Amino acid sequence: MDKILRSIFILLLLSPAAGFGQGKKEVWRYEGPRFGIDLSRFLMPTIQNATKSAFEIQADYPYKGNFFPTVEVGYQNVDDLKDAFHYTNKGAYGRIGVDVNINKFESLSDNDLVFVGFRYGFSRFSHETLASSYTNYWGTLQSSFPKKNMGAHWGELVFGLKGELLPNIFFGWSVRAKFLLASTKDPNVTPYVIPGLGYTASEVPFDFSVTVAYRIPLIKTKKMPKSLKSARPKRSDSDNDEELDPNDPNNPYNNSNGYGGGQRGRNQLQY
Amino acid sequence: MVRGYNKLAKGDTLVFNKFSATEFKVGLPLAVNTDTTGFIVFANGKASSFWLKHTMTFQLISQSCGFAPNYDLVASKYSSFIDSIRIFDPVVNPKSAEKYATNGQNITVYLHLTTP
Repeated sequence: MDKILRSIFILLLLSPAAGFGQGKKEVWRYEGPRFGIDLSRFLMPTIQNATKSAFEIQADYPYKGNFFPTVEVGYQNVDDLKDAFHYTNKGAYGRIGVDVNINKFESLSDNDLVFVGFRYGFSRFSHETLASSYTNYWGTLQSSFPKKNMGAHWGELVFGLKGELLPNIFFGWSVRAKFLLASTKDPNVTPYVIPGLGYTASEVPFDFSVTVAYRIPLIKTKKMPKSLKSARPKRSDSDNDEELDPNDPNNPYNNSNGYGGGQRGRNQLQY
Repeated sequence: MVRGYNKLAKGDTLVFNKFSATEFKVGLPLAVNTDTTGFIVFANGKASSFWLKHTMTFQLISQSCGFAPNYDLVASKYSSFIDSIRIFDPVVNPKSAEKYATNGQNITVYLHLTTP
């Protein structure tokens, strides 16, 4: 517990938002790469029957405010010992894709996301049947199948939430529908679990993830990301102020939201 | 009555049918350690045999069901009192039971119920 509190304290110290000695608190918007771990990978072995261990790390980076190109990599090991067979499956996987924020940022300090996204996933893994048996009227057949290297490709649709609990510390969850696109064929053993995809008994496997992430605040800005919902058609090329709308609460230069003190937009310098 | 070939021990009878129907369906297991399965059919006080030759792959069905054989029937052979054997569906696997429930069949064995 002491270590956890110390870690949180250090993270808070690292956060530029928690600056010292600032007489006047100025609100900035911070952006940067976000790195996280999927906590659900640690929980799943207790939920599901198979002896399973896994970890997954995730990273994303904001692009134009509402788009988050995402990379996820992980490793999974399944050791399933049942009465009639003993099956092992282990391998690494990766996913790349994009999350799109559909939530409207209310202020410069608002980093909470409601997102939809897609992923392309791929896995390289090996599986092996150490023992299997089948008994009927004629007797018992016992067999084993050697280790075989396999591969799989799939797509995912993602919906989730991500909230900034503490400065630069994010907590979120997502649900995923997965679609197996292709996998290596094995005439004897079609894998019932694929690292990164999950169990293949269902044609559209569903999965969820619970993520804790830390954002490295590399970029400091006063610019609010343009909401996807309020996206307007572009004006003429000569109008460079197209992203600023004095009536838009998303405009950082419009001080009606109480943030962004000390900054004035060009459209406010006319008096 | 149907019994496995060379299976003579008590309790080895696969089907014991006292009904006088001229047509009935039964599920018969195939051998797991050889490529030929033989059965003896007892009807009207006469016994006749038939053999099914097959190839087999041992496959993982699912995490809950485990492994099961998947057969492909390739040929049949039979003795007197059996008129013929027709293979309708050569693939025999755990799904065959579902087919059997919905009026499907893998093979039909036609018997001479009267002396030819």
